[in-house]
This record gives sequence, structure tokens and C-alpha cells, in this order.
Amino acid sequence: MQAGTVISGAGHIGLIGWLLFGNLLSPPPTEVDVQPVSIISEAEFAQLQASVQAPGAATDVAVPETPDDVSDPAPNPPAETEVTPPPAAEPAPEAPAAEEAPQVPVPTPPVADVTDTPPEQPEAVPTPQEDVATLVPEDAPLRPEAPPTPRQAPRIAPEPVAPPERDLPIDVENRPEVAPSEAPAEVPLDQQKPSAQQESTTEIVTEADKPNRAPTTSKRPQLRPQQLAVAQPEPEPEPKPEPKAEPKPAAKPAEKPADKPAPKPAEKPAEDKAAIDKALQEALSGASGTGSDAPKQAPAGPPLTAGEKESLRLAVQSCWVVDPGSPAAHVTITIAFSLDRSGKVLGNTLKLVGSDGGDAGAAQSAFDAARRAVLRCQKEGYTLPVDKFDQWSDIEMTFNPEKMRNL
Amino acid sequence: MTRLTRPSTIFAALIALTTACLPGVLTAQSGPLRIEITEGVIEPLPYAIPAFVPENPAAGQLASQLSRVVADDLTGTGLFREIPTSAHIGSITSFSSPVQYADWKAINAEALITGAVAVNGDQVTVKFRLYDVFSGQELGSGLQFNGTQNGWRRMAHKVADAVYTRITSEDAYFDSRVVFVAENGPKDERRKRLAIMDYDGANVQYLTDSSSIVLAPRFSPSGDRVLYTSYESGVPRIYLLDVASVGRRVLNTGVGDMSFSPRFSPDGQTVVYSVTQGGNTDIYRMNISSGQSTRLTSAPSIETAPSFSPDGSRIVFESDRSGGQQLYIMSANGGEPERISFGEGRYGTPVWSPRGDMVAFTKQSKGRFHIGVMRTDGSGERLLTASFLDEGPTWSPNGRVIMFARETQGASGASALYSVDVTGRNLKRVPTEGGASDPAWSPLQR
Repeated sequence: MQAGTVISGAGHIGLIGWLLFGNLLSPPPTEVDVQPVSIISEAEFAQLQASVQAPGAATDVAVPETPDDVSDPAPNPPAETEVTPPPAAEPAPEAPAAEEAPQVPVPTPPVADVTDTPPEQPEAVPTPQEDVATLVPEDAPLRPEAPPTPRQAPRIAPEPVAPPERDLPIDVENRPEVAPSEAPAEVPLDQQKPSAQQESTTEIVTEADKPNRAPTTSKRPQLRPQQLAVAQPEPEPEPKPEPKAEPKPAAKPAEKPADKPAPKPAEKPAEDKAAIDKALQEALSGASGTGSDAPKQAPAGPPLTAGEKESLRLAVQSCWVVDPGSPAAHVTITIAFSLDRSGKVLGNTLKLVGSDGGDAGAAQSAFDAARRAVLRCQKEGYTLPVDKFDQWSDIEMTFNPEKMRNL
Repeated sequence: MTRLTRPSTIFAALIALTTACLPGVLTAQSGPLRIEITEGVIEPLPYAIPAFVPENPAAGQLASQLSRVVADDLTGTGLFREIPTSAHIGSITSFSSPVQYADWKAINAEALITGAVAVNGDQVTVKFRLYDVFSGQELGSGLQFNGTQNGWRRMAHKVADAVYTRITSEDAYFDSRVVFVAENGPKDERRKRLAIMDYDGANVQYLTDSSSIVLAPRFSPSGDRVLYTSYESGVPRIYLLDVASVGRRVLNTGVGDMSFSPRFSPDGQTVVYSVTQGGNTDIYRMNISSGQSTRLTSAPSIETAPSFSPDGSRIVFESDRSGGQQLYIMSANGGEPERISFGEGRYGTPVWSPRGDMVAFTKQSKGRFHIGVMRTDGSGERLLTASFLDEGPTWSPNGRVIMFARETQGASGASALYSVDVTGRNLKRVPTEGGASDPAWSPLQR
């Protein structure tokens, strides 16, 4: 203990000394070039300013330069630089430039293009503004991957569905017609009336919408399910050593079970291997959640694959009806339910876990929509691997309509 | 004594620190399977509404008519899709008998509406129930309305309102009316008069004759009075009309050559309007009881079309003070306005949404007229319509639908009323006899 104090004291003294006198050892600062300046009076400054040509002079400079390339209607970046008025100039003074433009034998670019359009952008394309509706000119170039003209449809879904070839009843999936054949079959077939998915598009198309030539947003990366209001119990955090006045190296965690060895990372300097083993044992015992507040045991068996989870997600989302104009579209809702081995929802297990956003009425509406989605699309049971039943017997599903609001 | 500098001890501490995060990682896969769904579908909710059951012979025809109006109300929103009766498997023969959910599940009906009608003399009783088919339970409890035979459509609208509210958790708008300017005759000799009708175009009544031009009627918050502008005296003046008695009086706005564009405050005690005096148009407000008026703007530009926020604290209006016609918001007591529209074109006739979060407007840009909406800070502008001439938006009482006037091009062009959902979907014409313009939606009737 005394040795430690000595070491610590020496270290601190050394550090303080280095901070105080370290600069003495550092190399001298590099020399700075000094330029002589002269001070002028306000009158002299005004005189200098008066001698500088204002926007009119800049315009005179620019106009003769652009006709060099008559075939290129887009102004060259250097010309734009020269035409751009000084920062202090108001937008209004640009009018004289427009008046002088007829002297130029080429079409005069609009003033707005000269001042606002970035050099790399085509002249005819207005700069898109976020959250402001803009009309894209008819001659705007299409992106190579631009989708076809969006059409209006009564249904908006992640995947577009073409209108059915004939008038069929609407269903959540396409069903071919199954009718008894004229020849007697050994195995009787269940008759099935044909049905088709409703025609759908991927976005709301209003009357004011032109064909969508604007770049579409890229798909967001998948988010981890959010833990809402009533979340599952979190595992007990790693117990922190209690602060002690005594310089005991490691205190026992207060809530640690008695049968667990207390973390004593530095009690004995004896065997290094023992210290490593203890640390590993402590970490793994904490991870296994054997404390009093530990969550329930993890389901046995291999976890669901990403594809299996995706299959379930797709099945439910095809029945999740969102009304983007309602207050419920601002509510993220989490529900929980249990499935039987056939993949059907067990009666009365579907319940609200939590909601985020909106008032109580909106949350109720959002919950109803989520409940209908789960119940409507289960049909004869969700298709899930029976051998992994423990993994999907209990499901917590979050419905987040944020992306739907922007359609 | 502990030697803290030993590499092995430091390594052990690092392991302990690193694996401190392990519990969360390892247990993230425990418990229920967690799935997040971020994409759904936007489509009308399928529902079934078998014809209401007549509880006595006199109710036979009315029961069928009532259920049809309910279905038209719901389907007309664009949020619901009626499954035709021909596709029904089950039937409802008694209002009190239990529902066979399997029959309605089989046709993918998510909601089922059953009802019954009884007629005793002039008295009509309508009751209904709403079921969530896939949950196998009733949504809310049954409800009953009593009225007269003349008011059967209102009773149907009341039923539809209740169904709409129970499913969407929003207020509804079916039991409401619209006051508008009915138009007849060619464009250069058009006769205009005030008219009032149900929101769906039924029960039209005329409130004025066509001896003088009338413009821009606006309901009071209680729906019993209407403000409008008339050229009856030769110049535009504001009139206040009682809907029940059709009695009217001119509002003494005091100063000015012309007064027009009136609108009630949410409490119904104050009127805001525009006054033109010496070529300058400004906005005034007047207490209806005392007749005392206050000038709210004083710019040498045209300020008009004022509309109160639902809480009455602010006013949105149009002005050309910046050179072009744009939208501004100011305090209800006047003061420096804040510009909220900055897009291309001209913006006019702003109307504050009953929800308080949006402003509907008319926009003229590149030779076309649009009805659009934006947030009250000017963000999120969306154009919902586009045509030769769209103008004069008015909100449904729940802030979900916008009605407006659309005029077709040419000498024989006529004006008609249209409605569109706030999302831009479900654009449709409101049926009227002859031409119609300047609609104003009433609050929900009580």
C-alpha cells in the first residue's frame, strides 16, 4: 500500500511538472510571416469602394464571354462565377442583367439559373426542395431505373399488383379455380372459387401528381424491434462493485446469489489463469441470467432463420391496412400473441403491449388494425417450422406506420 | 497487495468488461419472437351490411333505404369497401340473433353492420350493431336512434357516423350540411343564389333568390347562421342570414367602399372580413353583438380571405405584400404576420383545418389550379388536385375531407362541387342540381 502511494505520488508530481515546465523542452514556435498593413480612413475606404464596378460592371463582363459556344446553352461555370453578383446584392438588382441580355445572340439563361443553379445540374431542372411539391418539366431526363408512370389504384401495397384479367372476387392472394373434372377422380378435390388480389400500386397518386420522375428514396435498413411501453424484462445488468471507503480491491455485488463466487479480480496475485477463469465465469454467469430478475429461459432449439422471420412478416403486412390520413397513422403499436403448433393464434392471447404516439383513440384504432392484420392473414395458420415451435410460440409484433405516412 | 500492472490481470479485467455486454446480446433472442412491420397496405376496409331488418311491415322499404344510405356514406369515404349482397353467404333475419362469424369471415368481411328499423306512425326507430368479424366480437354496444320519417336520412347518417367513429376512432362528418352558391345560366349571364344541402347533395334548399350576385357563404360554428357577400346594394356587402328563418341583415362594417370575404371566429362572437377603402384592402374584425370593429392589417397591399385557427388565437390570410399572392399567419389581434407559403405560383383562399394542423389553399401555378394542403408552418405542401380551375376549399367537420369548386373550360363551362380526401385519394364529384360553387361545410349537426 505504501509503495502504491509512493508510485502514485511520484507519477502525479511528474505529470504536474511536465505540464508546468514541459513547454520549456518543446521546440520554439515557427516564425510567422508578418505583413505590414496600413490604416485608411472611412473616406478613403468609400473612395476605394466607389472605384469598384458594382453588379452592372460584372454583368458587362459576363455577357461578351458566353457567346463563344453558341451550341451550348448552359452557362460555363467560370461565366457563372463572374455573373454572380456580390453577396450583398439583393435579388432584385438582377433585373438589369436581364435587360442587357438581348445584346447577346444566344438565348439568355434565366436569372434564377445564373444565380441559383449549381453548375453540374442541367439548366431546365429546378432544384428540388424538401417537403415542397415541385412539378418536374416534361422534358426532364428519366432515370434509367425510373419506374413506369404510377397509376391510381384503390390499394397501395409494398408490391404492385396488376389488375386481374377478369372480374374476380377480391382476396388477399390469388387463388386458381378448382372445379371437379368431368372424368371421375379417385381423390375428390375441394372445389374452390377463383379469386384475385386487388389491383394495387406502391404509392398514392393524386390528381396533381405528374409521372414520378423524381428519384425515389432508397429502402431503409431494417431496424431492430423497438421495446415499447411494457417491454420484456431486461436482463440484470452487470453488478457494479459497491464503492467502499476502504481500499478493498473488489466488493461483492449486492444482489449476487450466494452460490455465485464474488468477483475478486485482484484479491490474490497468485495464479493468472485463475483470474481469467474467474472473469469469464462471472461474465457468463451474468449472461445466463440466473439472478432473481432474470428473464425467462431462452427457447430451446435452433432460432428461426431470417427467411422464416421474413415469411411471417410478409404474411402479416399484406393484411395490415394503414390509413395514412388518420391519427392512427402516427401510432406505433406493439402487440403480443401466442400461436399453436398449427400457426394459428390462440384465443384471447392477442393483447396490447404498448403504443407510442397519438391519443388513446388513435392507439385503439391502431391496435384494432394490427389485431385485424394478424387474425385475418392467419387463415389456416402461419407457415412456420414445427420443429422450432418453441421459437415462435410467443410473438411480439411491432407495427410502425412511419414509412406509410410518406406515401 | 494487488499488482494492478500485471498484464494477465489487465486481460482478465478486459474480459470482464467486454463480456459485461454479453447478457443483453445473449438474452436478446430469448423471450417472444420479435417482428417489426413497417410496410402495410392502404386499401378500403371490406365490410358487409345486410339490409336492415324491418321490425314491422311499415318499415320494409325504409329499412332497405336506410341501410343503403349508411353503405353509401361509408363507401363514399374511400376508406371502406362494401361487399355486395350477392356475395353474402350468411343472412341476418333477426336483429337479436347471434352472428355466424364464419359466414362473414369466408367472404373476407372485416366488419359487419346489422340493423333493424321500426315505423310507428310518423315515428321511426333505427338500431344497429357493429361487429369485428375476425375478432369475433362486437365493436361497442348497440345503438338506437329515434326520429320522424322526414328525417330518415339524418338517422342513416347518424348510424354511419357511429360506425365510422368506432372503426377509425375519428370524428365523422356524414350528418353535416353544405351551404353553397347554386348557379344557373350561361357563363356571361349566370344567376347565383345561396343554397344548402346535406353533405352528399341531398335535401337541397334555396336560401336566397337570384336577383343579386352572392358569394362566399360561411357557416357559423353552431351551423345555424350563414355569413355571405351580396351585391344587393350595388356594391359588395356582408350579410348575416339565419338558416331556419331565412331572415337576413346587413352587417354594418362602417368604413370602406366594399366589404367581403367574411368568416366567423370559432366562438361565433367575432367576424373577420376584408374592407376595400381607397384602393387598399385590409382585414378587420368585428364583434357581432356590439358592432365594434378593429383593423388588423394596414399594409398598402391586398390582404383578404382570413380564416381563424380552431383555437381562435391566429388568423391565416392571403396577401400580395411580397409582390406575389402568398399565405401569411398573424395573431387574431393583428400584428406582424409571418409568411408560410414560398412555392412557385400564387396561393389564395386559405382555410385552417378543424384539426388545427393543416391549412388548405388554392394554388395557381403554370396555368393550372390546384387544391393543396400544407402544415401551419408552411412545410409539407401537397397538391391534391389539378384542373383548369379549382378553388375555394372547405374542410369537413373532422378535417378529413376537402370540398371545393371546379369549373370546366370554355364558354359552356360549368362549375361543380368536388371532394377529395386529405391524402389526395377519393376525388369525386358531389351531386348537385345545376352548377355550384363556393361550398362551405357545416359543423356536425347535433
